[in-house]
Amino acid sequence: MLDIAGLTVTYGAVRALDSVDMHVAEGSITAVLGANGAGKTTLLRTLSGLVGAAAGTIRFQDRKITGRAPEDVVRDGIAHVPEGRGVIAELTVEENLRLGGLCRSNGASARAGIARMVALFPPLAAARNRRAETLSGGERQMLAIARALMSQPRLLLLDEPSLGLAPKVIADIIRTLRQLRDDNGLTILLVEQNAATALSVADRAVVLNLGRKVADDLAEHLAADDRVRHAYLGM
Amino acid sequence: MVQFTDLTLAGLAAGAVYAAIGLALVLIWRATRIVNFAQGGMLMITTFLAYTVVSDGGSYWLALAVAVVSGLVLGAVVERLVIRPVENKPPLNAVIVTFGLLVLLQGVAGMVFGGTPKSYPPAFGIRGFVVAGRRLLFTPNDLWVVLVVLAVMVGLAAVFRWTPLGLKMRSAAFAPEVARLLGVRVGRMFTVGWALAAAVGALAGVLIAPDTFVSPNAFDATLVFGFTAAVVGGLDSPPGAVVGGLSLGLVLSYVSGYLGSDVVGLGALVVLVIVLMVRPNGLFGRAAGRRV
Amino acid sequence: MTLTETPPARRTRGPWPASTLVRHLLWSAVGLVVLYLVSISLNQFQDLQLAQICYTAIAAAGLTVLSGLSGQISLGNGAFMAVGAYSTALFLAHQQWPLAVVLVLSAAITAVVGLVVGAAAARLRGPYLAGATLALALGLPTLANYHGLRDQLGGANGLTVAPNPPPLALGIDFPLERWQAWICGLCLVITLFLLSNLVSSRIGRDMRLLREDEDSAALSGVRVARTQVLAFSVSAACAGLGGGLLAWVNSLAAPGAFPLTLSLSLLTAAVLGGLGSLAGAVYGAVIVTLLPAWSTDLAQSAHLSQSIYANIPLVVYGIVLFVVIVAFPGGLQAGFVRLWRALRNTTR
Repeated sequence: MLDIAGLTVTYGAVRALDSVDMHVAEGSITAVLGANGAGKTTLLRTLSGLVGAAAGTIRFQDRKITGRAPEDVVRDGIAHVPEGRGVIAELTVEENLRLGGLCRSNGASARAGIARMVALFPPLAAARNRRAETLSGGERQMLAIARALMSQPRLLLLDEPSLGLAPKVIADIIRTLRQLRDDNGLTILLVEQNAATALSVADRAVVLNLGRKVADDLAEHLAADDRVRHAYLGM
Repeated sequence: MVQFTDLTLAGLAAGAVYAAIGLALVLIWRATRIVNFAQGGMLMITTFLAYTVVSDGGSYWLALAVAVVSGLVLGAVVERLVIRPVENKPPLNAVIVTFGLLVLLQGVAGMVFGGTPKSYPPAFGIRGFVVAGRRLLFTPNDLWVVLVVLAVMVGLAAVFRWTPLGLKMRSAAFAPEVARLLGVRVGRMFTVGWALAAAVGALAGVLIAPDTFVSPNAFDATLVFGFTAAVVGGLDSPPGAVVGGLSLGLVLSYVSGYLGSDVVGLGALVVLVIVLMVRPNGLFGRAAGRRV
Repeated sequence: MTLTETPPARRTRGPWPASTLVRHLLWSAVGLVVLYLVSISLNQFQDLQLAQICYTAIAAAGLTVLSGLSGQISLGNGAFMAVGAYSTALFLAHQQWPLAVVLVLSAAITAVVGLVVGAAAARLRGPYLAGATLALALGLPTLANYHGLRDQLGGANGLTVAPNPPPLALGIDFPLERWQAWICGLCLVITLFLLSNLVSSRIGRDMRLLREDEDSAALSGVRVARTQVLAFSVSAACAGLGGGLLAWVNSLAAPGAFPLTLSLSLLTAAVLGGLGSLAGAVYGAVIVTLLPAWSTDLAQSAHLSQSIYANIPLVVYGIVLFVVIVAFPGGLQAGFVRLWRALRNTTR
C-alpha cells in the first residue's frame, strides 16, 4: 500500500532521513522505532506532506505522492496524528471532530461519523461540548485519533501516541488500534520511542538510527533480536 | 440630564462605528495574528469608491453595495500580495508593512481623488427623533448605524460558530499546521478572513462618512479608536470589540461634552489604560496559555 | 608575557570587560570624526537634515533597545519625544541653564515618565502593549491642547524656543545649522556609546533573555518586571533627549509636531535597520528622514500637478517600506551582515 524508495530529507546540512526504503502492507500495523533524533517524526511529516523530500519517492496505492501538500494528502487517504497530538484547544471536542470530517463531506455523514467516534472512544461522549483544552492527556490522544479517523483514511500515521500517558490509558489506545486494524482493515504506521509497547501490537517493525534504516523485520523477530534491542531500542 | 441623554445617544452611534472597525481588526487578528494598521486606509479607498457612485447620481444603496464588494476584493488582494510575504515573519514586520500600505493608500487616494474633503450623504434623515416633545440628538441615521453594526456582528458570529467555513477559519487561525493536516486550505482561509474584515471595514467607512467627510486622512482618528475598541474588548473576541466600541464611544462622547473635544485622545488613552491594568488581555480576551 | 609584566588592567567594577568598553570608545571616536567630516561638507539645509537624522536616530536607538532587545513593542515613543521637547522648551524659556544641563534634565524627566508607563504596561504583551502605546502616542500630546494647561503649554501653537547661537569662538559666520548638527551628532554618539555598553552588559543580557522566553528568564533569575520597566525608561530617556533636540533645532515644541506618524516612523526606522541593532537605528533614521524629503524633491522637479506631487512621497515611502521589509526581514543591518559574510565566503 505504501512504498518508500530512497527517501532523503535534509534540514540544512543535517540529513534527517538518508535513503530510507520501506514497504507497508495494507491492513497491517507497522512500528517505526529508534532513539531521539533518529528521523521517525521526520518520516511521518514527509509522508503527510508537511516536509519536502530532497530525494526519493513515496507511492501510496500505486500513486506517487511525493511533494503533495498536506491538504491534498489527507484527501488521498492518509491521516496524520502529529507529535503532541495537535488537538485544537480553543475548539470543543465536537468541533475538533467535525473539522476532521470536513474534507470528506458535511452534514449527515459528519454526524454519523461523530457518533461512530464517540462510540469507539467513550470518554469523548461526556466531554463532547467541552473545549478541548479541558481534556486530560489520554482523552486528547483519543480525540486526536478520532479526529484523524473522521477523514476516513486508508492509512493512519501516529506519532508517539503513548507519550506522557499512564500505562492503563496506553493499553486502551493500543487495544483500539488493534480493533481498527482487525475490524476495519485500517493500515497504521506507528512511531514510538516506547519500543515494547509498539512491538506488542505491531505486525512489522522498522528501526531508524540517525536517519538510516538499520532493521526491517517482523515485530516478533525484532523483539527477540537482542543486538537490535540493546543497540537501538534501549530494551 | 438632557445633555447626558444626548451625549449618551451620540456616543452609542459613534461607538457603533468604532465597534465595526474594531470587529474588522479582530477578524484579521484572529485569522492571521496580524494587526492591520492599513485598515483605515483600506476603508478610505472603498468609501471613495462609494463616493464616486453617489456623486455620479447612483443611489445610496448601490454605493453601499459597491463599497462592500470592493472591500471584499481589496481585502483578498492585499492579503495575497502584501501580507503573504510577512505572515510567517516576526510580527513587527507586519506592522511596518501594513503601515507602509496605509501610507501608500493615502498617497494614491490623494493623487486620484485629491485632498479636499468630500461630503457624503447619510442613509436616512438627520433630524433627531422627537420624544416626549423634545428633539433628541439621535437621528434616524444614527439608529440605522447602530442596527447595521449589530446585525453584522450577529451575522459574523453565526458564520464563525455554525458554518463549516467558520470552523475552518477558526482552525486555520488557532493551529495552522494541524489545520492543514485536516485538509483545511489555510492560505485560502486567511484570504477569506481578510476579505471579510475589509468588507466590514468598508461598511464602517460608509456609515461614518457623513460625519467625517471623505478625504485621505479623514479616518485616521476613527482607526485609532477602532483599534482601541478592539484592544479594550480583547483582540480575540468579536463581541468584545462591539462592547469595547460602544463603551469607548460613550466615554469619548462624555469627555467631549464635559471636558472639551480637544482631549478626546487623552480620554481614549485613559480608558485603555484603566481596562488593561485590570485585565491585561482586554475585557473578554483570554490569556494565551503556552502550548506545551 | 613574562612574570614581571603586569597583566592587562581589568576593570573589576561593573559588569563590562575592559576590551568591550575600549572598542565602544574607539567606535565613538570614529563616529565623531565621520560626523565632523560630513557636516563640514554639507550646505546649511543638509546640515539641518543631518541634525534631524541625529535626533531621530537617538529616539530610534532607544526604541530598538526596547522593542528589539527586551521585545516590548512600543508605538508611542513619539509621545516620549513630546515630553522631552516640552521639558526642554519650558526649561530654556524659564531658566538660564546651559543647553547640556537642560537636555540631561529633559531626558531624566522623560525617563521617569517612561518608568511610570513601563510599570503601568508591565503586564501587557504583544498587541495589547501596542494598543496601549498607540493610545499614548495619540493621547499624550493632546494634553498640551487642554484648556486648563493652555497658558503653560501654549495650546495648539506650542512653545517657541530661542535657538542658541553658536559660540563666538567658532567665528561670527559659523552657520547655525552646522552648530545644531554638531550638537545633535555629539548627543547621538554619546547615546550610542552608553546604549552599546548597556546592551553588552548583564542588563542587556537580561533583556535578551526576557525577549526569548519570559518564563525561562524568570526561572533563571531575571527580574522580569524590573527589567521591562528599565527598558521602557531607557527608551523613554532616549526619546526625551531626541525630542529635546527636536524642539531646540526646530525652535518649537507644538502638539502638531508629534502626530501618530512620528511614533510609527520611529518604529519603522528601528525595524528597517534591524530590531536590536544600534547601527540599524542609524540607517533607519537616515531612511525615514531623507526618503520623504528626497521623494518630494523628485516630485516637484518633475513638474507634476499639485495633487500628484504632494502625494508621491507617500507612495514612495509606502513602497520602500514594503520592499525593504520583504527583502530584508531581519532589517538592513542583518542584511548587510549576510552580504558581507557571503562576500567573504566567495573570496576564500
